[in-house]
Amino acid sequence: MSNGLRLANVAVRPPTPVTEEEAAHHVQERQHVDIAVENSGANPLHAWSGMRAFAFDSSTGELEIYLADPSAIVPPGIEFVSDYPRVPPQVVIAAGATVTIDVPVPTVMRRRVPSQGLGMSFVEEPIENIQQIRIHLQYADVPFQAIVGESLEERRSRLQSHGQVVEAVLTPTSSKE
Amino acid sequence: MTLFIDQSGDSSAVFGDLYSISRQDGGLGDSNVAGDPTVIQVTYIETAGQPATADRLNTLVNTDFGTPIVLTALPGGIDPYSGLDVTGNGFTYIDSTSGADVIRIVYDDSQCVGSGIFMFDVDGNHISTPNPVILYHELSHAFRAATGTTQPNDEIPAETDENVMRSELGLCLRDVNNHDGGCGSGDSCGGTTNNGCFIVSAATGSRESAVVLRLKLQRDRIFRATDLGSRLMDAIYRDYYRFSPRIAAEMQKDPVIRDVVLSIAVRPLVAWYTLANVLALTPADDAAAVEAVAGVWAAVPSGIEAQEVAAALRSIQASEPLPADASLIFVYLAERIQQAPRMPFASWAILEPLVRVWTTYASGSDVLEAVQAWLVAAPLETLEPPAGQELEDELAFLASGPFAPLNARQQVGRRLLAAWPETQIALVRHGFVVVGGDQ
Repeated sequence: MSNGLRLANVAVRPPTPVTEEEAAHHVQERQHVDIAVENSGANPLHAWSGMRAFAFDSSTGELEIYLADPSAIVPPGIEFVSDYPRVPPQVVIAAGATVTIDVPVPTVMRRRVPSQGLGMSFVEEPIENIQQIRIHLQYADVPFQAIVGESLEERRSRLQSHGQVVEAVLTPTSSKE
Repeated sequence: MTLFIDQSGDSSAVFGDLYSISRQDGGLGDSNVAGDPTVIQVTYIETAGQPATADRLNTLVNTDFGTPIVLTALPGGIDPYSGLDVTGNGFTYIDSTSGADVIRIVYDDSQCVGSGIFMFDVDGNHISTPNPVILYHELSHAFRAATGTTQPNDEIPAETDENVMRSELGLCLRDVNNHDGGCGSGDSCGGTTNNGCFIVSAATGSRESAVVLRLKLQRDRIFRATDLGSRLMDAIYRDYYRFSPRIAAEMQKDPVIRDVVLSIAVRPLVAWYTLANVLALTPADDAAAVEAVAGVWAAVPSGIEAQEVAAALRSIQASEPLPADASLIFVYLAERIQQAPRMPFASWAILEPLVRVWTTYASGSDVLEAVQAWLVAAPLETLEPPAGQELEDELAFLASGPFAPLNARQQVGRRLLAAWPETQIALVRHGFVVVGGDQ
């Protein structure tokens, strides 16, 4: 019997359309990725349930979701001044249980393109026809908790070394609603 | 000159947030940048006596740090430069990917897709964090990045600065040793960034003018009387905030615009709301209604062709081209409030009364009927329904006041029943829906 988490299944639910009012305020639709996570071990585990980063490759249809510390994905040439990482939302998965984590994902992906000025240059590509989903899920046998007053470096170091990350590529098995 | 607004994001939202940071200072403005249509440059001539947040903004705008600061508001989602999800957050970073350094502030102006953004006070309570506060926090980071004074733990000075703004706005103060937060609601401690009558304040020259105070009194009597009314008011302000700061800032600089907006929009609107209050709160007081009607007609300026005003306002409301002979002021307004017709709350609260008051004046028709019809059209059904005793109290208030006439109540009832089917029994109990009737 394994002592960790297994990413058992993933499904994509279509977004709830935004209202006219929301659209006027630039609120964008969110589709929902339901990730079934199985704890086959003998102890409860604490899994991150809030997305920290995502990416979509429209050429392959692969959606990548980070329910894990994403600092490794920041490209060279970007030096953060304000990036105090918050305590991630977490969910407890009891021994032997399977929990479904609902991850709202925008329906568009912004992709940087060569710049022509000081403003950001990007294109928005629809996140659709998802063929597979690469999931990075961080978890530990104890919850990640805030320590009031800890510095940015201390927080970042603790987050990066907290527990472990399970990664899997799954094919969405169903589309509900 | 250092501060720029990124046109690839929501530039109106950024300008509105800067206007809040300046504490509604008409010295704030913007200008195009020659050769770079991707940004607009922020300009600021600070009015004497503005508070500390305005002083910081003045420094950021009018000091040449050698490194531009670019502000981008996004509705959550991926920051395309860092690759991180900005939903519910704000980032400041130095971007050297194109050669020269650029300090970028990227922040989520959707309030975490509408769910709110909270931080913590010293007792560990969740406290709300409006968008101008998020931007001011990030500007604090940017200031130190631009001046080479970034601290090893730069969150503490940023949160100390943030508390300066929170204090100015009457918001709960943040624990400067707790740098966490998340998506969800929080206590505002009674403070707010979105109750400013920006345009009325600019038109009358003061946030404390008699007209502003009268308008706030009318607002509080009718909208703040119940939770549903408060939520309706909040929704109206969310809409209003999208377009009003820029107009208000321009009015403060241009007395012609200020005088015209005051006469064709502000005074008639205030009189309209006064009459609406009478009809909604004291429907049996005929003398008060007569006085309020007289107030509406007195507020409509003489010497202006009412038909022309009504036609132009109808075109703006319908997002249609203006009549060929429309005055320049309507060309200006149409450009500045082009978002408003698509916003149901702003459209109902601002455009609809203006169209009705000028149309009624031009045609000589009954303004009492016009106000009653406007009250009936209040987009209550677009809000989440109250529940339990709160629902009973709300419906009782509405049935005895704004919708006391049975035909008005039943018109509203049809819409509420369609949107809130779970409230049918309460709607019947309060006369909004007739059992067996043609609903």
